[in-house]
Amino acid sequence: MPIIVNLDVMLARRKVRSKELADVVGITEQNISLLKSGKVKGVRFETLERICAYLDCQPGDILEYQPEAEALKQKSPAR
Amino acid sequence: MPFADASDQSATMPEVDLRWTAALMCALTAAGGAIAGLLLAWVWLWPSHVELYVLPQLGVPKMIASLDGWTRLSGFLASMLPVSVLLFALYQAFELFYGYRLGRIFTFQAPTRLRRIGFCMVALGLLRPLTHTALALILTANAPPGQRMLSIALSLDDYMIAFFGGLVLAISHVMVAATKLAEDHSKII
Repeated sequence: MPIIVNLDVMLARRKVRSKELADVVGITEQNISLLKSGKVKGVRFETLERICAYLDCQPGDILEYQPEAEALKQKSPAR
Repeated sequence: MPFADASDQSATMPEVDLRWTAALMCALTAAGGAIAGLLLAWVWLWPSHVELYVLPQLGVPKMIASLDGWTRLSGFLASMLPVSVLLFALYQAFELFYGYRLGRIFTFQAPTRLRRIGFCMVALGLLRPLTHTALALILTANAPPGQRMLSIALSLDDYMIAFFGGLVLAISHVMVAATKLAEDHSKII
Protein backbone atom coordinates (compact mmCIF):
# COMPACT_ATOMS: atom_id res chain seq x y z
CA MET A 1 0.00 0.00 0.00
CA PRO A 2 1.65 3.29 -1.09
CA ILE A 3 0.20 5.28 1.84
CA ILE A 4 2.26 4.70 4.98
CA VAL A 5 0.78 5.58 8.36
CA ASN A 6 3.34 6.89 10.85
CA LEU A 7 0.91 7.35 13.72
CA ASP A 8 2.93 5.09 16.02
CA VAL A 9 5.96 7.35 15.52
CA MET A 10 3.94 10.46 16.40
CA LEU A 11 2.39 8.75 19.42
CA ALA A 12 5.87 7.86 20.67
CA ARG A 13 7.14 11.42 20.11
CA ARG A 14 4.24 12.95 22.00
CA LYS A 15 4.29 10.18 24.61
CA VAL A 16 0.60 9.48 24.10
CA ARG A 17 -0.89 6.03 24.45
CA SER A 18 -3.26 4.55 21.85
CA LYS A 19 -6.08 4.25 24.37
CA GLU A 20 -5.76 7.89 25.36
CA LEU A 21 -5.84 9.02 21.73
CA ALA A 22 -8.82 6.74 21.01
CA ASP A 23 -10.80 8.21 23.92
CA VAL A 24 -10.02 11.77 22.89
CA VAL A 25 -10.67 11.33 19.17
CA GLY A 26 -13.83 9.31 19.73
CA ILE A 27 -12.96 6.08 17.97
CA THR A 28 -12.22 2.65 19.40
CA GLU A 29 -8.75 1.52 20.38
CA GLN A 30 -9.15 -1.28 17.84
CA ASN A 31 -9.58 1.29 15.07
CA ILE A 32 -6.49 3.14 16.28
CA SER A 33 -4.57 -0.15 16.01
CA LEU A 34 -5.95 -0.73 12.51
CA LEU A 35 -4.95 2.81 11.54
CA LYS A 36 -1.42 2.37 12.92
CA SER A 37 -0.98 -0.84 10.94
CA GLY A 38 -2.40 0.76 7.79
CA LYS A 39 -5.27 -1.74 7.55
CA VAL A 40 -8.04 0.81 7.12
CA LYS A 41 -9.66 1.76 3.82
CA GLY A 42 -9.71 5.46 4.61
CA VAL A 43 -9.67 8.17 7.25
CA ARG A 44 -12.33 10.84 7.59
CA PHE A 45 -11.09 14.44 7.59
CA GLU A 46 -12.84 14.89 10.93
CA THR A 47 -10.86 12.03 12.48
CA LEU A 48 -7.60 13.31 10.96
CA GLU A 49 -8.35 16.81 12.27
CA ARG A 50 -8.89 15.51 15.80
CA ILE A 51 -5.71 13.43 15.73
CA CYS A 52 -3.62 16.33 14.45
CA ALA A 53 -5.17 18.74 16.96
CA TYR A 54 -4.44 16.45 19.90
CA LEU A 55 -0.94 15.42 18.78
CA ASP A 56 -0.14 18.97 17.59
CA CYS A 57 1.10 17.81 14.21
CA GLN A 58 0.36 18.03 10.49
CA PRO A 59 -1.35 15.32 8.40
CA GLY A 60 1.95 14.88 6.62
CA ASP A 61 3.54 13.87 9.92
CA ILE A 62 1.13 10.96 10.15
CA LEU A 63 0.60 10.03 6.50
CA GLU A 64 3.38 9.45 4.00
CA TYR A 65 3.26 8.51 0.34
CA GLN A 66 5.77 5.92 -0.82
CA PRO A 67 5.09 4.80 -4.37
CA GLU A 68 5.80 1.19 -5.14
CA ALA A 69 9.06 0.58 -7.04
CA GLU A 70 7.42 -0.57 -10.31
CA ALA A 71 5.04 2.40 -10.36
CA LEU A 72 7.95 4.74 -9.73
CA LYS A 73 9.91 3.35 -12.69
CA GLN A 74 6.96 3.57 -15.09
CA LYS A 75 5.35 6.84 -14.02
CA SER A 76 8.21 9.17 -13.06
CA PRO A 77 10.48 9.65 -16.06
CA ALA A 78 11.36 13.19 -14.84
CA ARG A 79 12.96 11.95 -11.64
CA MET B 1 -8.48 19.37 24.87
CA PRO B 2 -10.70 16.34 24.81
CA PHE B 3 -13.39 16.12 22.17
CA ALA B 4 -16.99 15.05 22.84
CA ASP B 5 -17.36 11.28 22.91
CA ALA B 6 -18.57 10.31 19.44
CA SER B 7 -19.16 6.67 20.33
CA ASP B 8 -22.54 6.99 22.05
CA GLN B 9 -23.46 3.57 23.45
CA SER B 10 -27.20 4.16 23.85
CA ALA B 11 -29.51 2.94 21.06
CA THR B 12 -31.08 5.63 18.88
CA MET B 13 -34.84 5.80 18.21
CA PRO B 14 -34.60 4.15 14.75
CA GLU B 15 -32.59 1.30 16.29
CA VAL B 16 -35.20 0.74 18.98
CA ASP B 17 -37.96 0.78 16.36
CA LEU B 18 -36.03 -1.71 14.25
CA ARG B 19 -35.57 -4.08 17.17
CA TRP B 20 -39.26 -3.94 18.02
CA THR B 21 -40.24 -4.58 14.41
CA ALA B 22 -37.75 -7.42 14.16
CA ALA B 23 -39.02 -8.98 17.40
CA LEU B 24 -42.60 -8.73 16.17
CA MET B 25 -41.71 -10.34 12.84
CA CYS B 26 -39.87 -13.15 14.64
CA ALA B 27 -43.03 -13.86 16.61
CA LEU B 28 -45.24 -13.65 13.52
CA THR B 29 -43.08 -15.96 11.41
CA ALA B 30 -42.86 -18.51 14.22
CA ALA B 31 -46.60 -18.34 14.78
CA GLY B 32 -47.24 -18.54 11.04
CA GLY B 33 -45.18 -21.69 10.71
CA ALA B 34 -46.86 -23.33 13.67
CA ILE B 35 -50.32 -22.42 12.41
CA ALA B 36 -49.59 -23.70 8.90
CA GLY B 37 -48.50 -27.10 10.18
CA LEU B 38 -51.29 -27.44 12.71
CA LEU B 39 -53.94 -26.28 10.26
CA LEU B 40 -52.82 -28.81 7.68
CA ALA B 41 -52.94 -31.63 10.21
CA TRP B 42 -56.34 -30.42 11.45
CA VAL B 43 -57.78 -30.49 7.90
CA TRP B 44 -56.52 -33.98 7.01
CA LEU B 45 -57.28 -35.53 10.39
CA TRP B 46 -61.03 -35.60 9.87
CA PRO B 47 -62.87 -36.69 6.70
CA SER B 48 -65.46 -33.98 7.23
CA HIS B 49 -62.74 -31.32 7.05
CA VAL B 50 -61.37 -32.80 3.85
CA GLU B 51 -64.90 -32.75 2.39
CA LEU B 52 -65.44 -29.18 3.45
CA TYR B 53 -62.10 -27.57 2.59
CA VAL B 54 -60.13 -29.75 0.16
CA LEU B 55 -62.61 -31.33 -2.24
CA PRO B 56 -64.26 -28.06 -3.36
CA GLN B 57 -60.85 -26.53 -4.01
CA LEU B 58 -59.82 -29.49 -6.15
CA GLY B 59 -63.17 -29.74 -7.87
CA VAL B 60 -63.47 -33.41 -6.83
CA PRO B 61 -67.07 -34.59 -6.26
CA LYS B 62 -67.73 -36.14 -2.84
CA MET B 63 -69.18 -39.31 -4.29
CA ILE B 64 -65.95 -40.41 -5.97
CA ALA B 65 -63.52 -39.22 -3.30
CA SER B 66 -61.96 -41.76 -0.97
CA LEU B 67 -61.56 -40.46 2.58
CA ASP B 68 -60.13 -43.47 4.42
CA GLY B 69 -57.13 -43.16 6.73
CA TRP B 70 -54.45 -44.12 4.21
CA THR B 71 -55.83 -41.75 1.58
CA ARG B 72 -55.92 -38.90 4.05
CA LEU B 73 -52.37 -39.70 5.19
CA SER B 74 -51.19 -39.68 1.57
CA GLY B 75 -53.04 -36.43 1.01
CA PHE B 76 -51.43 -34.93 4.10
CA LEU B 77 -47.96 -35.97 2.93
CA ALA B 78 -48.57 -34.56 -0.54
CA SER B 79 -49.80 -31.31 0.98
CA MET B 80 -46.72 -31.22 3.21
CA LEU B 81 -44.51 -30.75 0.15
CA PRO B 82 -45.42 -27.10 -0.49
CA VAL B 83 -45.98 -26.54 3.22
CA SER B 84 -42.44 -27.79 3.96
CA VAL B 85 -41.10 -25.26 1.49
CA LEU B 86 -43.22 -22.60 3.17
CA LEU B 87 -41.93 -23.65 6.62
CA PHE B 88 -38.34 -23.45 5.37
CA ALA B 89 -39.00 -19.97 3.99
CA LEU B 90 -40.57 -18.90 7.28
CA TYR B 91 -37.55 -20.28 9.16
CA GLN B 92 -35.23 -18.23 6.94
CA ALA B 93 -37.41 -15.17 7.60
CA PHE B 94 -37.27 -15.88 11.34
CA GLU B 95 -33.48 -16.10 11.30
CA LEU B 96 -33.29 -12.94 9.16
CA PHE B 97 -35.37 -10.90 11.60
CA TYR B 98 -33.58 -12.44 14.59
CA GLY B 99 -30.33 -11.16 13.10
CA TYR B 100 -31.88 -7.72 12.58
CA ARG B 101 -32.96 -7.76 16.22
CA LEU B 102 -29.33 -8.31 17.21
CA GLY B 103 -28.26 -5.42 14.99
CA ARG B 104 -26.79 -7.67 12.29
CA ILE B 105 -28.26 -5.83 9.34
CA PHE B 106 -25.46 -5.50 6.81
CA THR B 107 -24.04 -8.99 7.01
CA PHE B 108 -23.61 -11.51 4.19
CA GLN B 109 -26.04 -13.85 5.93
CA ALA B 110 -28.98 -11.52 5.34
CA PRO B 111 -28.89 -11.63 1.51
CA THR B 112 -28.26 -15.37 1.68
CA ARG B 113 -31.45 -15.83 3.68
CA LEU B 114 -33.33 -13.50 1.35
CA ARG B 115 -32.11 -15.52 -1.61
CA ARG B 116 -33.37 -18.71 0.01
CA ILE B 117 -36.75 -17.09 0.62
CA GLY B 118 -36.84 -16.07 -3.03
CA PHE B 119 -36.06 -19.60 -4.19
CA CYS B 120 -38.75 -20.96 -1.87
CA MET B 121 -41.33 -18.60 -3.35
CA VAL B 122 -40.40 -19.64 -6.88
CA ALA B 123 -40.58 -23.29 -5.82
CA LEU B 124 -43.98 -22.72 -4.22
CA GLY B 125 -45.31 -21.20 -7.42
CA LEU B 126 -44.24 -24.38 -9.24
CA LEU B 127 -45.25 -26.86 -6.53
CA ARG B 128 -48.80 -25.66 -5.94
CA PRO B 129 -50.18 -26.80 -9.32
CA LEU B 130 -48.30 -30.09 -8.99
CA THR B 131 -49.73 -30.65 -5.50
CA HIS B 132 -53.21 -29.88 -6.79
CA THR B 133 -52.82 -32.59 -9.44
CA ALA B 134 -51.32 -35.07 -6.97
CA LEU B 135 -54.15 -34.54 -4.47
CA ALA B 136 -56.86 -35.05 -7.10
CA LEU B 137 -55.17 -38.32 -8.11
CA ILE B 138 -54.77 -39.48 -4.49
CA LEU B 139 -58.34 -38.71 -3.50
CA THR B 140 -59.84 -40.47 -6.51
CA ALA B 141 -57.35 -43.37 -6.70
CA ASN B 142 -59.87 -45.77 -5.13
CA ALA B 143 -62.75 -44.66 -7.34
CA PRO B 144 -64.03 -47.14 -9.97
CA PRO B 145 -62.23 -47.00 -13.32
CA GLY B 146 -63.62 -44.23 -15.48
CA GLN B 147 -64.29 -42.05 -12.43
CA ARG B 148 -60.75 -41.28 -11.42
CA MET B 149 -59.74 -37.66 -11.90
CA LEU B 150 -56.68 -35.99 -13.29
CA SER B 151 -56.88 -32.31 -12.51
CA ILE B 152 -54.44 -29.68 -13.71
CA ALA B 153 -54.99 -26.20 -12.34
CA LEU B 154 -52.92 -23.14 -13.12
CA SER B 155 -53.85 -19.93 -11.38
CA LEU B 156 -52.64 -16.36 -11.43
CA ASP B 157 -51.78 -16.75 -7.72
CA ASP B 158 -49.15 -19.36 -8.51
CA TYR B 159 -47.62 -17.17 -11.20
CA MET B 160 -47.57 -14.14 -8.88
CA ILE B 161 -45.92 -16.11 -6.05
CA ALA B 162 -43.18 -17.26 -8.43
CA PHE B 163 -42.85 -13.74 -9.88
CA PHE B 164 -42.45 -12.11 -6.48
CA GLY B 165 -39.99 -14.85 -5.59
CA GLY B 166 -37.95 -13.70 -8.56
CA LEU B 167 -38.16 -10.12 -7.30
CA VAL B 168 -36.90 -11.20 -3.88
CA LEU B 169 -33.99 -12.99 -5.60
CA ALA B 170 -33.12 -9.77 -7.45
CA ILE B 171 -33.31 -7.77 -4.21
CA SER B 172 -31.01 -10.25 -2.46
CA HIS B 173 -28.50 -9.84 -5.29
CA VAL B 174 -28.51 -6.07 -4.76
CA MET B 175 -28.17 -6.58 -1.00
CA VAL B 176 -24.93 -8.51 -1.52
CA ALA B 177 -23.47 -5.47 -3.27
CA ALA B 178 -24.88 -3.19 -0.55
CA THR B 179 -23.32 -5.35 2.15
CA LYS B 180 -19.92 -5.16 0.45
CA LEU B 181 -20.27 -1.36 0.33
CA ALA B 182 -21.22 -1.28 4.00
CA GLU B 183 -18.25 -3.45 4.87
CA ASP B 184 -15.91 -1.13 2.94
CA HIS B 185 -17.51 1.86 4.64
CA SER B 186 -16.95 0.34 8.07
CA LYS B 187 -13.23 0.26 7.33
CA ILE B 188 -13.18 4.05 6.98
CA ILE B 189 -12.54 5.51 10.42
